[in-house]
Amino acid sequence: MTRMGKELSLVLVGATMLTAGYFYFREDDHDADSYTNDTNHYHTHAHPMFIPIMMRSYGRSGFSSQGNSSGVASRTSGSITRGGFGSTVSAHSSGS
Amino acid sequence: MQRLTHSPRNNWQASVEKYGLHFHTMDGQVYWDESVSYHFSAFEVDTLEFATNSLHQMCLDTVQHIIDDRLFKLFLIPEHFEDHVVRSWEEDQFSLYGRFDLSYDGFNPPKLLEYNADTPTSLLEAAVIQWFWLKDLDERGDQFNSIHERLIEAWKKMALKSTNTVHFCATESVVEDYVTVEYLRDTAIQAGLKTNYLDIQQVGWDRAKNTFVDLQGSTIQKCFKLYPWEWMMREEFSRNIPNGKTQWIEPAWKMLLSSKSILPLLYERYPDSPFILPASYEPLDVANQVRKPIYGREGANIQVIMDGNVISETPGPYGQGPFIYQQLAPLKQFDGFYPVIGSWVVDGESAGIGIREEDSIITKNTSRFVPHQLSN
Repeated sequence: MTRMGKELSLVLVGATMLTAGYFYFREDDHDADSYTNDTNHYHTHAHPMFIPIMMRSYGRSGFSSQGNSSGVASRTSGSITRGGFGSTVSAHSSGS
Repeated sequence: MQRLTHSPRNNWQASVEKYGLHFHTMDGQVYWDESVSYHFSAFEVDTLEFATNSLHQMCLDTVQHIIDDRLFKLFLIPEHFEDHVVRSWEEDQFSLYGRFDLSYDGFNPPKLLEYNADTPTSLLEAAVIQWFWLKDLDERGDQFNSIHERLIEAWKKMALKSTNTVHFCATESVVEDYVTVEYLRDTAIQAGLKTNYLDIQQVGWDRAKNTFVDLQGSTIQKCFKLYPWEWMMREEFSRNIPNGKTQWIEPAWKMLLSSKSILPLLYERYPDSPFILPASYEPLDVANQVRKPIYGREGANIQVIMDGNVISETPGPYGQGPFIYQQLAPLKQFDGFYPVIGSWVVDGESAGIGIREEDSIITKNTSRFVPHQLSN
């Protein structure tokens, strides 16, 4: 049987930074939709952009500024249509 | 198996937020509750691990049976989608994880309540938060928990076959979902994969290329979605899924396991398993049973029937059914509380546990997550 008997490796410092950074972008910079990660910049504790985020607490049902809701109409630009998934989204988790 | 009470760590909120658990308190109620923990012996952990691996194998066998006999109607799968489910199974498409919910008292065999095989959450809490709680409490303490390492190993295994960027989709307006997906994305990054995030509503369909695309118009080759198949297959883009080139994670065959419709089939095939409760599509001929909607989520529309009377019922949007009936599991109270063991499967193997605790026998989305450790 394998049980965890050691420290985690990168131990989620990466995840925390990643998550917090994304919250930051999402709330304050909607142009950050195109934000794409690489494997380097999550491992830095000291990046100031994350600091305010780490001090905040969020409710499970999320951020009022996001504005996602059910029944989003699909939209087309050129040959690409978006919004064909997500119409069942509610204020509740998609998880189980 | 013991339930012990503790003083929470000083400034515990900051301690869990440090690792991404921003939803430790909801509507003023504690969700992450470290004033309590459960202690397990090595034997008890071995039992949980064995039950989990056995159940997973029985589930895979039952999926094959469903595919062979094309029992898709039991799962409300639209006809046009059936072949996609079959293909995802026959191609052995990559499955990352799942979580069995088990009733366990430390004495009798664990009993399967349901299998959250498609979009399980409470992952960060189980994989990471409870581990650091333990390390703060007892540096030498141990836990039944290799979830994090196994996730990374699973991604590495997938990367051997293909190094395509993996897109991660969730509903970013729900912080629990978003954090779960970002945690998984972190494990994929640690495995060396290139990743990208977009909201499920931002997924595009390019009719010229006949592919799903991201915000840059690039083809989505692989997509981890924290969005249930039973929703996806009824939405506008569902008609494109069978023709698209995207490999979805979890794959479509996992929806067969995430539906409560699997429970009567499992019982039919394994009536003597100590881990499986009697279940049926019709009311059971037993005094105490639970009625569950086949695609219910987070404890909604659960009806507990004792001696023929409904003694408890939760509200929700699934009241129209269809339903299955499962014999009421013998739940043991610990100091007046009922724990449910969330037993994680990563890449097909038992990987650790998380515990949700409630003061009633129905676990809901507000049920507290409590940590555990191995007894010395």
